[in-house]
Amino acid sequence: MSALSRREFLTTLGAAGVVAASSGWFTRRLFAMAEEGTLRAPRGPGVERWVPTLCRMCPAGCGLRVRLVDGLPVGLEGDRTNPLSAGGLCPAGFAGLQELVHPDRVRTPLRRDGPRGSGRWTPVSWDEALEQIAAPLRASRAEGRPQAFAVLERGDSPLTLYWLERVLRAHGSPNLVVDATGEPWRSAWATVAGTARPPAPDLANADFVLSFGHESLETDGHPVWQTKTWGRLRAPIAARQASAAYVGPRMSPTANHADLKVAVRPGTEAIMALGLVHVLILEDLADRSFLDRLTRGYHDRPGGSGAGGDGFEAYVRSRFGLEEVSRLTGAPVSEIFRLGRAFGTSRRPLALAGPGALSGEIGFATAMAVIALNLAVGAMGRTGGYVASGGAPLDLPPPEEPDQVARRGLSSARVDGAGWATLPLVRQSPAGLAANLAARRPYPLEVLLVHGVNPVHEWPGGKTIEEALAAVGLVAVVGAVADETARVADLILPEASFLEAWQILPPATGIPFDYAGLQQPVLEPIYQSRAFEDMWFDLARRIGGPAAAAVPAGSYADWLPSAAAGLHRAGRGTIAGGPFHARVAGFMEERGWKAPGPQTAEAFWEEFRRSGSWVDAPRGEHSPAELLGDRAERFDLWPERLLADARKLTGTPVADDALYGGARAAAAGAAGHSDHPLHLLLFDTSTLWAGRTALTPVLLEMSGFREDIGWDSWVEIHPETARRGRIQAGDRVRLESPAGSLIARARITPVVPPDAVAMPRGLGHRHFGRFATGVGVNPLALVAPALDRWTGNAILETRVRLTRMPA
Amino acid sequence: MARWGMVIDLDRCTGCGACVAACKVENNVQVVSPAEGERGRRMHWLRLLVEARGEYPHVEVRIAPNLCMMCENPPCTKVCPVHATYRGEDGLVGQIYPRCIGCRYCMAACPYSVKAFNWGSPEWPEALLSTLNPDVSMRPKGVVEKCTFCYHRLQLGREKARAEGRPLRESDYQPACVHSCPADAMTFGDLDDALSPAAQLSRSTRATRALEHLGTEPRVFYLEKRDAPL
Amino acid sequence: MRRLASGMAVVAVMAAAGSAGCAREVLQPVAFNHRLHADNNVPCLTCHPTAATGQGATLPAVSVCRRCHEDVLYEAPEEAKIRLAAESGHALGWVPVFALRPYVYFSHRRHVTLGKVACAACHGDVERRSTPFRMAAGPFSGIRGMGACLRCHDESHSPYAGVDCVDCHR
Repeated sequence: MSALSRREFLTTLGAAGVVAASSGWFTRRLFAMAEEGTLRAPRGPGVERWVPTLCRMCPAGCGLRVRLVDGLPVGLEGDRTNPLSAGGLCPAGFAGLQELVHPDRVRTPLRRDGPRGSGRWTPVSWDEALEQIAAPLRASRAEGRPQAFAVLERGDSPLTLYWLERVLRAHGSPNLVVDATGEPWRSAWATVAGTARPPAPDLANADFVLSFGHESLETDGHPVWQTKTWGRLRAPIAARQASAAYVGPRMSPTANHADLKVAVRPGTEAIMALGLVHVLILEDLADRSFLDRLTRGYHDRPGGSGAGGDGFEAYVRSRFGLEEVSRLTGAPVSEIFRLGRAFGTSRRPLALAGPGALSGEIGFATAMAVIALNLAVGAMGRTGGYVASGGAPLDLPPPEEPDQVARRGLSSARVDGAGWATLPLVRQSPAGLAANLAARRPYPLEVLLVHGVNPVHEWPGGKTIEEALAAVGLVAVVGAVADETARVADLILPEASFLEAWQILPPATGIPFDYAGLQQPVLEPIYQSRAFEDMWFDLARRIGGPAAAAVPAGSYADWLPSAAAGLHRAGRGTIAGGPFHARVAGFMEERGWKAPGPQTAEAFWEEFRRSGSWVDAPRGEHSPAELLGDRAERFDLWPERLLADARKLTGTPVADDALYGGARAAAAGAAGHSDHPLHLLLFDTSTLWAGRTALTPVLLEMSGFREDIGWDSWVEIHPETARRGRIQAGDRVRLESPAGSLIARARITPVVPPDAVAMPRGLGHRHFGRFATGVGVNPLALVAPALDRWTGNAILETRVRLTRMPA
Repeated sequence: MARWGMVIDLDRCTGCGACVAACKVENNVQVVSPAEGERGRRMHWLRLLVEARGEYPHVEVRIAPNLCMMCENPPCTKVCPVHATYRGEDGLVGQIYPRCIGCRYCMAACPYSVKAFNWGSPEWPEALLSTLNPDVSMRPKGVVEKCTFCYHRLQLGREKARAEGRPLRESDYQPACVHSCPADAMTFGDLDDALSPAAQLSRSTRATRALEHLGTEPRVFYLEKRDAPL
Repeated sequence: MRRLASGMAVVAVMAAAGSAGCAREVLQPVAFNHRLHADNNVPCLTCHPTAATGQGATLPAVSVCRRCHEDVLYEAPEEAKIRLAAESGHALGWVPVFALRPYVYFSHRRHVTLGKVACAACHGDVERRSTPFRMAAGPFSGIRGMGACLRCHDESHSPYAGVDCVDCHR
């Protein structure tokens, strides 16, 4: 072997060294890249456990099954055995896990450390926080002013409302203000039928569903249940079993799936409904027998300020002629006829109305008109029509008599003006609260507790609400992530996620059978957060006196099984094992068989926990009587008492046809806003849910998933409007209304009419955790706060001017 | 071996997006930054194709979920230089991340554009890491990923069935998207099992497949929308 | 010759550099003697039960040891460590020695319960070890591992022992 020269040796070594160093580096880099996959906890045995619970991202409460692996929640899916959702979910449901571990969840109670709105907080203990709230409440009660305590509550859980009401009643405050008012639909039904609760549409058996702005497949009612029902009615193999129609200005996703769409100008749904009644009359398709037997005011109008007067039939014929209706709504006469005929010739037609049609200036009239349309086809108390709303026979402690101090407090006027600044029928007026707060009307508040509502962001006039809160002695906000309202509060109380807390949810309004869903925690609260009901019980105990006596000992979770005992005692229905199971059990029970169930309340609770829901399957027989309140025998087509109340309220003459005449006047006056020529239509999406769910990356990325838009809001603009404004897709545009302005990106689409633009609610948060803050814009900045005294709601209508922003 | 296939009823599909969210969460699919999203780099294994036709008010918005077709004659596997995407024994087109070199030929070859590419390292906010599904890999930067028909659910389902000493049932294996659909528009099953709903629906007169003329033999069938009766 | 020598030098240096990323030595908290337990008829699954029922097999918690080591056998210094851990409530802190890459999915239940594969087939003769494991998994053990898996799967006549990539890499 020839010797290696020294140089050759060193060169080789050097080269080898370079190669070695790089290969070592390369090897390590290679494995580092593979190691990048190690982003989760070290693998354990993989013990899997499923817990049935409910999704609480929206008021519907779909059944959920959460998958835990080695004790950590890592997945979820819909619960197939839930009688309502049957395994389906909406996009928001899948974000539940991300919400649970959101990095900006408040971990301990926080007290503000600096002026309100400064964003500086100090952690305090639960004892300190609750004491800070209880002290002024004890003091104000001692001074004979227990009513200075108001609670602003989201209102999607009847049991939570029960406990709020119970404590407030014992304490002596009438001021439980519920954001989910259900108005004007609730008051309209109360006017027509005398019922406290609006009835529910029996969608599963209807063969023609006409929606007036009811986004059944998206965000109104119980969208998953409605979609399931709708899906079943379009079973692929059988012939189509039901048709759907939609009336509204915007061709929403629900409209898109309707078989018949009739576009109307914004705010003219009431006119269209009455026009359809007219078609039914002309074509002799109205249910004369029902109208004769069960309505009042169809042929003659009883009472009224004139001596008798036109009955409803004559009124519609004379005041809502089809040419007029067509002129006001913008829909061709032929379309009105077509829709009316299709509706009237169906065997089981049903008409729905949603917030999209009911949030404007004439919301109440619109609700009445749609109910009148249902009356005209006799869709009351029959299969496939409106039937009694379902509930859950839970065992609740019997009401207690309030003491003298409380009675005095309870007799004071409500701070939200419900019943005195609004029509007496109205029970809740969040918009009224906003209006009264700053003026300390009717009296100043010591404490305002806010739960599940973000008025500064979600209501029109957010800035004024922020300022109005200054008039309240102590503002405490309960929530998971500090939002805009929490920012200007004195205390933030961290709320447990729905995955960490208990609840029993009776059906939301609009479900036609009895049901109870069980929400159970999948893990212990991961921070010092607590379920709202537990906070409330503790607060009541601290306030002392009758408030403390009104709550049970122990936690909410300790009490809940006794409520469920009512389901067991009812001796009917079944713990759900799936839709088929529920139907079979209902079938058997109707024929006198009793499905064997758990023998004791304890056994029932265990079964309930395993299953997640209870249902009493819908019965076949219905009658109109089930919809009429105790004192009513007929459905009232004319709101005489309402008009009398309206006269008293405003102190001015109110015409006999103030209701529908008002609708016509509003539609006629709609043209001629040259400064702000376009209507603004607001809508919600099932990813953003008006802002509540816009918290997590997965949903924020999906903000406009059908429009290929992520992490942003957008303005829907008709192609013709865009052409006139020289606006192209993706341009930024400015919208200006009398109340404010904003800038957003344009989306050119034919789903909106040329005289309107549309924007989704939900984004534009200024404070809502690191992901959502600063994303998108809030269209409510364009809406001036205006209170509708007939409904107690904010009027969500406005007009805008559209200009293109320079690039 | 079962011939796994899917049938999507476009008459029932409402475009709600539950399937899109379900897939994202089940399969640990990245949420990219807004800026990357604007560049068209949002990652969805299942997305909705949306097309609005017509003029107001006679607008028709057509929606179709778009996911890997699990072609029987897949163009993507033919071009992969490293056998990272290939057709497995179950007839499912696999995507093996450790083998993928990120050349993206398969993305170019796929006529349905169902593949997504990891342009960046996954950036999961630390707090959200515990919500990841432990049954599905995390993909590093530079690899292609796509729908797997939730293959991990099949494997876990098979194991569970064997451990319980019984054959695999339909309810043991349902991709996350199919399970989540509130309109029951998606049906999944063995296309060779004459009794399975998926097989029956795939033979419906309304059944059609996307881009059939390309000869890819997709296993995802679409049931065409029906004419309105009114 | 020169080329051969330089080639060998390159290889030698590479090997040296490469081995810098090799398996590292670890110290287990307790000098556990597998052989002693095996000779006393303690089967693997007694302390590693999830190997039969789950995806992963775990290292035993203190409570597992205490099932037997309640009092009688608490005299030896190593056992005292177990007692201390139990009293303090801390975990024992075993260092995992067998770990697959995160992109490999392996189910113990499939192999142990359904496939009836002996523990020793993959883990070696653990029963005969009287000293604890000292070498933790390193970057190269993954690659060596896959070859072993494939060899067994190829030779097995079970239809369940697949060689499809997607069976283990998902």
